[in-house]
Amino acid sequence: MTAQSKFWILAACFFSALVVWTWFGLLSVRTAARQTDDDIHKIERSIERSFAEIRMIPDVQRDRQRVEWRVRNLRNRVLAIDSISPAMTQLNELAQQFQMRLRTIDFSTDTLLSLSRLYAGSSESFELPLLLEIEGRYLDFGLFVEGLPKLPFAIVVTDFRMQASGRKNTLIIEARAKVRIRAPNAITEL
Amino acid sequence: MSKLSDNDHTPPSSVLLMDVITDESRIGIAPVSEPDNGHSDSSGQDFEHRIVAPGSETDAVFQSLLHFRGAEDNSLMDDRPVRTGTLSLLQRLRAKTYVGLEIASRSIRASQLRVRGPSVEVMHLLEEPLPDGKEHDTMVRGEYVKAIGRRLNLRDSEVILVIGGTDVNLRLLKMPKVSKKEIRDALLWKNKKELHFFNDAPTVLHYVILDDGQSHASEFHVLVIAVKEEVVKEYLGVLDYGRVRPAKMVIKAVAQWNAYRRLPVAGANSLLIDIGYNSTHLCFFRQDTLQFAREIPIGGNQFTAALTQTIFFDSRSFSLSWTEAEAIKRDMGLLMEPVAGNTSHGIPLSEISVMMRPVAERLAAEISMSIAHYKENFRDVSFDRVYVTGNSARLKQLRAFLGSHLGHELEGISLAPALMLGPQPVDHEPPNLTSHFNTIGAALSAGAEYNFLPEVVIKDNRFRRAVSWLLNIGLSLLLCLATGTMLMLLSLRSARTVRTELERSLQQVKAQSQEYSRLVDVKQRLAAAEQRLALELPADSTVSRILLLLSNVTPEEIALTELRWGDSYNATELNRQQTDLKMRKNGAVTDVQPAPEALWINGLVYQDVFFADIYLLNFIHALESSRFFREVHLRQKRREEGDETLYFELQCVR
Repeated sequence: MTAQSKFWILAACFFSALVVWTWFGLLSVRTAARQTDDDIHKIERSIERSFAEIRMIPDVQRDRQRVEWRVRNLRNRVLAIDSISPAMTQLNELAQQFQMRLRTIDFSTDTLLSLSRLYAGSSESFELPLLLEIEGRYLDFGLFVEGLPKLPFAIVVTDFRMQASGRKNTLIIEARAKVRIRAPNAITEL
Repeated sequence: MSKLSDNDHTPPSSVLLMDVITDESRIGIAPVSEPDNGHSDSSGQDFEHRIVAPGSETDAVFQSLLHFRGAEDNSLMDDRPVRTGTLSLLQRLRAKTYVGLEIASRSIRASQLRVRGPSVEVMHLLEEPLPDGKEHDTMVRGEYVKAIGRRLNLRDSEVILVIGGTDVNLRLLKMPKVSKKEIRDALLWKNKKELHFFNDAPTVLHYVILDDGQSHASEFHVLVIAVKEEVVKEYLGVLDYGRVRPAKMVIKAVAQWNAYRRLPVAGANSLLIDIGYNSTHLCFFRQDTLQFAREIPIGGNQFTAALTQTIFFDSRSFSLSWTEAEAIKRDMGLLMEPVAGNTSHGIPLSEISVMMRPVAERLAAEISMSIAHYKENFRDVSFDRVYVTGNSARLKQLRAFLGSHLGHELEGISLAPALMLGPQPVDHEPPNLTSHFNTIGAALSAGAEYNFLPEVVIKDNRFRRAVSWLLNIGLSLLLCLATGTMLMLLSLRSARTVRTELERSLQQVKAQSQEYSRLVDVKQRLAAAEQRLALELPADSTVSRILLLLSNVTPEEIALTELRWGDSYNATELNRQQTDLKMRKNGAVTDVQPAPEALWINGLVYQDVFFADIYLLNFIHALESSRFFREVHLRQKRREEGDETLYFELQCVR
């Protein structure tokens, strides 16, 4: 083998080594650099997101307070068992306010007891059906029904039957309503 | 009268004899024997190299080299102002550096030039006088070449060697027109037949066909350059000792041609006579083309040698040493006319004249013969100007003598207009470019033509150049890759540091942003609770809307006796549905569909019996138009007997 051939073989080996170095050495470094750049971009995005979240904290706090206030209001419209009597008194006062005579308020004590036991210790409330018998005029009854949401507890008329009474210009209205009763020892979520 | 001593310079033991063949196709010069200087070996030689401004050296050895200094014809000194300065930086970057190297009889000369297009910068002019008696010692010359190489840093330069001598033959041949293939065979045959050294040793042959319009239709002139391979090997041997690799080897004529082409005088038909130490070289130029060249083995040393021959006068004999003869030659010059007086040795000047005149006449005759030969071959061409150069041309009266014999005025030639002198040449005296005419010309030769290097050396050079290029490319690539890798690693390291810092910042920021997540979670749970409570605590105003609607759409003629809304009070309807179910089981088809939400209206039309149906119809239409109910069905309509009141029952499905 001549010296020139040896040289060319050595040169080929040298350039092959260069190619291998370029391929494996530079490529791996480049890949690592690219990976690091990607990581940096991700971290930067995370930091930006975190900063944006930090900036939004006052708004979220305000929203939370608003929702909390609404929830509290709603929850206050749920009657406690020991508040049923005052609530009925308020209902009677409302009827009287519109010249209606609330002749009877009827609900099943057995139902109340069984439901109280059923939902005791849970976070839930239950519905208690009421049967109302009211005497009054058509328009007054309408005003009475419209005034129900203004009561501090939730009561809704689901059914009614309206008939003329024996007395002149008055109606006998039988209405079924529902009130929400808080379960005894209910767990407050918030 | 001094006697020869062992330490004195001795004349050559033999002189060159000329064998001039003057047939129309050949002019050849054949040495009968090589000059044997027989100079004693001067002990204690130093190989210290010196940069000399030509013509300014005061060293004793160099004084002997410049043997005409005492009586020199200074008008030939190339002391015209040389433009000083260097190439611009851009030109320097793109310029190539060439070194013309001439291993002459008594010294080694080198010119290093930086060439970029027409701009030529002289970087170095070196002349190393060889020690007496060692002029042909390959090792000694090699050492001097090595010293010059070290001084000039030849690694980045191309070295072009000038060769000359009697074994270099340049001939002008008139040949019949043959194909190019046949020319070489014909030239080989002709040289073998006619050239004195052709039969003895291998010869390198180069030829150029001169197509100048001077030839006949059936023949042309061929300029043939033949160099004995032994000469080439000898020079290569010297360079090999000197560790210098030549890129090119040109003959003296070609070097002079290159230098001539750079001069403003180029373009005319000229003859250049270069009178050297051992020989005289003639070059004939037509326009800027080299047409013919010839080397005459008569130089300055022949005049000295003539004076060292025994002089008989008045029954006395005088024998001058080489130094004494040299001194007389320098002092007196060429005495052509009988002059009264004696030298300090008591030799009459007339005898000195007698001894020197034949040499001058022989030289003039040889030049005349060459001119005649040239004119014979190129009948339509005459040269306009005759230039003379070379150190021996400075012999006093020689120029005038030759001029009178040739019938032409001999002019000095200057390279100064073609060159820029760089800052490298030292010494205070201006450089004498005349001494370096050949080396500068060789360094200006950039073409590949007339290269007498053996093919194997050329191939080796080519291979080395390729290797050098490859190594340069490889090293550059390596450097680039290493730099790139280093930069990338630095960048990676920096990026990783940044990433670490960012991660630390992220941890700190995330600790704060967790409050946001907690708040959002609480808000979502509150929203869910609100939604659930809103479902559990509906604010249903359907009843009030029904009441309001009926109040609005019920006309005066209709009285409502009963309203039922909701499942609890739809007992009638429930009963009816149960009845329908039973009937379906029995196979009967009914049109009553269960109504999930329905308002049952019982009423009567008690006025205007005639239009009661219309009132009822209007009432139903009003209920439908309200779009509060999806459907309104008239379930019952009756009139009581005896009472014309119309009773009805409507079902309004929500």
